[in-house]
Amino acid sequence: MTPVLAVENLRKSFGDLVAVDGVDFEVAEGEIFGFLGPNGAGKTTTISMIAGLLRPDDGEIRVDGVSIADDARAVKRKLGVVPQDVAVYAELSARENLRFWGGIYGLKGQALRERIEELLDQVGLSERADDPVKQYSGGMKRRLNLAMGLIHRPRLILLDEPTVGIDPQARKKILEIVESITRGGQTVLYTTHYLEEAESFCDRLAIIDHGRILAEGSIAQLKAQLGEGSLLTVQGEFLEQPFREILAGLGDLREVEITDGRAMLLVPGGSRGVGPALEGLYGAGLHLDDVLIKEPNLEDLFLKLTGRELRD
Amino acid sequence: MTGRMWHLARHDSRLFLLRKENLFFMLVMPILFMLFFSSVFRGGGGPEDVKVKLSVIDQDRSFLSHAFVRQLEGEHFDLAVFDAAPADSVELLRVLTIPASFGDSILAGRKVELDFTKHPDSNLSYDVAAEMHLHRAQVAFLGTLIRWEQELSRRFDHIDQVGEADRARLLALAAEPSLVTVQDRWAGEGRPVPSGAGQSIPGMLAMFVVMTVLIGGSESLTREKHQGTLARLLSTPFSRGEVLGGKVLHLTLVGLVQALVLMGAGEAMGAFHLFGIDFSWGPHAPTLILVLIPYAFAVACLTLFVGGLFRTTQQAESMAWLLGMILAAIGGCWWPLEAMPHGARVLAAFSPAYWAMSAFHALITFGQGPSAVILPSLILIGFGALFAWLGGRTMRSGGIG
Ligand SMILES: Nc1ncnc2c1ncn2[C@@H]1O[C@H](COP(=O)(O)OP(=O)(O)OP(=O)(O)O)[C@@H](O)[C@H]1O
Ligand SMILES: [Mg+2]
Repeated sequence: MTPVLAVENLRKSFGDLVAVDGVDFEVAEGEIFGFLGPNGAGKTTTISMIAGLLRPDDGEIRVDGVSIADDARAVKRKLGVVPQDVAVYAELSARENLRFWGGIYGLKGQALRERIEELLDQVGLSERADDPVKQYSGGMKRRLNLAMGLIHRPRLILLDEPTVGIDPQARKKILEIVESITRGGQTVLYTTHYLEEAESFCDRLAIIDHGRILAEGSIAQLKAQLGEGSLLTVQGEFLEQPFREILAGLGDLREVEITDGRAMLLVPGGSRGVGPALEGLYGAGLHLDDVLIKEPNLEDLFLKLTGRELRD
Repeated sequence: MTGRMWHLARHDSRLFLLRKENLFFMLVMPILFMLFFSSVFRGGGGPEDVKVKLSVIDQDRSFLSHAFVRQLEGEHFDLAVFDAAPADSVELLRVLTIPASFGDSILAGRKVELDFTKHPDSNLSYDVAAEMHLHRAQVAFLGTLIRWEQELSRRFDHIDQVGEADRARLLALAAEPSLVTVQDRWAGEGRPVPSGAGQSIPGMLAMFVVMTVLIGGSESLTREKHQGTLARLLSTPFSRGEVLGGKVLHLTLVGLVQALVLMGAGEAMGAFHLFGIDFSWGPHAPTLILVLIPYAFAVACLTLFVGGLFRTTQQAESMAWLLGMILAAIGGCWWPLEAMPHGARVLAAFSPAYWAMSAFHALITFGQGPSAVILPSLILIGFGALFAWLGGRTMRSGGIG
């Protein structure tokens, strides 16, 4: 079956800076595809190219098999773009913003009015629908920003970090809306640097950094890349190099990340293997201050792939 | 395509009207300006009120040619007298050459011809006024000569025979008010030289079309850029041309409405003789629309370009003010073009306001028919196309971040 979105070998540079460096992925119908990466990873640049706002230096973007280079209008008609930064008309009310936006997609009359009421209800703005947007809170503006991208029931929704930079309560509200969208069987490309979001509702995701996709698959597949087992994090007064030497003598323990004073290790065989592993470390004469055992998550995979925390 | 552009233009016009400062700019300020300038310069505005530039090359340098020059001084000329053609005489707007044989020929009763040359750049209406002033000076000079001749004790055949006292007497007579004057009047519509309210009302109209569109438009374009809605519009099925075309359509409408408001205001001021203003757009007023549409279009496209060039609203707005004032000044909105130095008149052609003013004057002042606005309108459309192209290039936006 033709994927709703197919991106092949996409590249974009700004001067010397390579923002997107050969990105490939596909999003199937009804799928929520996550694009997970830290600041400056190239998420927005990729979305901008899909939305037809930036011309790729190389590569191809197809929506339902139609290349954006061949028929931009047909492709854009199917997209619902929700930009990272709120882009609405501050002087107009939510209802007026939605009416204008619906008109752009050819909606009118009764159908448009009904769709506006439905959306206002969905994003919880019905009561304030006729106030000018400049009187809204940040969270309310974001909800309207989201609603504007949905007005024409797009075939593919591009959500660029819809929860970034808002307070936890507003974020919760947005996440509820996004979940209601995903339950509706919509196809979504969702960028975020919040792992919990990606884990909680993405069917598949790609981890992107420095414009490259480092890993791609379902949550389970990605976790499996870390390997089976438990994550053991130890802290103490040790240096990186001597610690590695000790580790080499300890058989199956696998390094996730080691720095001076802190090491993250994958223990095969789950929690049963943790006891012997700790014995080995103590036995080698290490002094440990802090020990943490947990199931690995995508955060750890990200750290392993990039050597960096997801959030700086 | 047009349906999509209308959708955007309607939306933009709505936003424009929601901003009170735009309304103030469109309705209150220009009308106050118009009232002020027209009442200050309300003078009847006949040709005699305007000094017309004239260079005289006096090759004769006799007391007779001096007397004639003195006679010219009695007319409303802004005179520059040379003994020989100056090096840059090709630059001179209007040149009257008094041939070397002038004095002798008059005394001998021979025919003498003065040469009057107009530069291709010179303004037609001022040329007409200059010819009229010349004509009056000639008549006056004849009168002076007759009076002088009657006082003479004898006839002279050669200029050298004239004594000092007689020469001085001729010069004195030439400076006296002449006995015969020609009162010019223009039948039909308007006046031959735009001045008074005939200059300031069209001038304010042309200026405020530029100011309102340029300031209001560059403000809204830059705002739309940094609030992200422009990029968002470009991500819709609307093409880039349609999005920018919608902006131009909206700004053209703003310019047209501004022009119509001021046309009405000007006509009303004239009709009620407010502060003594004497003015009417005349019978060709409907034809003005033919030039107002291309004018508003050219200014709208210029605004697209300015809005695209600047990142912040403050930058764009200050540039809009400055540029608007310059275009109005060099375009002849503030003063008649005649009052400007030669270099400025060359620059004027680069201001859309100049072409609008030319068309206004052709229709209102010279009473020419609709065909007179064809050239200015075409030039304004050309301006519009050029600015639209430049605007399309500058109005690029990055991603949607
Ligand atoms: N218009 C531009 N001109 C120059 N550099 C740009 C431009 N847009 C993006 N970049 C650079 O490209 C890189 C990728 O930026 P992008 O906005 O795609 O990252 P992102 O993954 O969306 O980050 P964030 O999570 O902060 O939104 C960054 O280094 C950024 O500085
Ligand atoms: Mg981004």
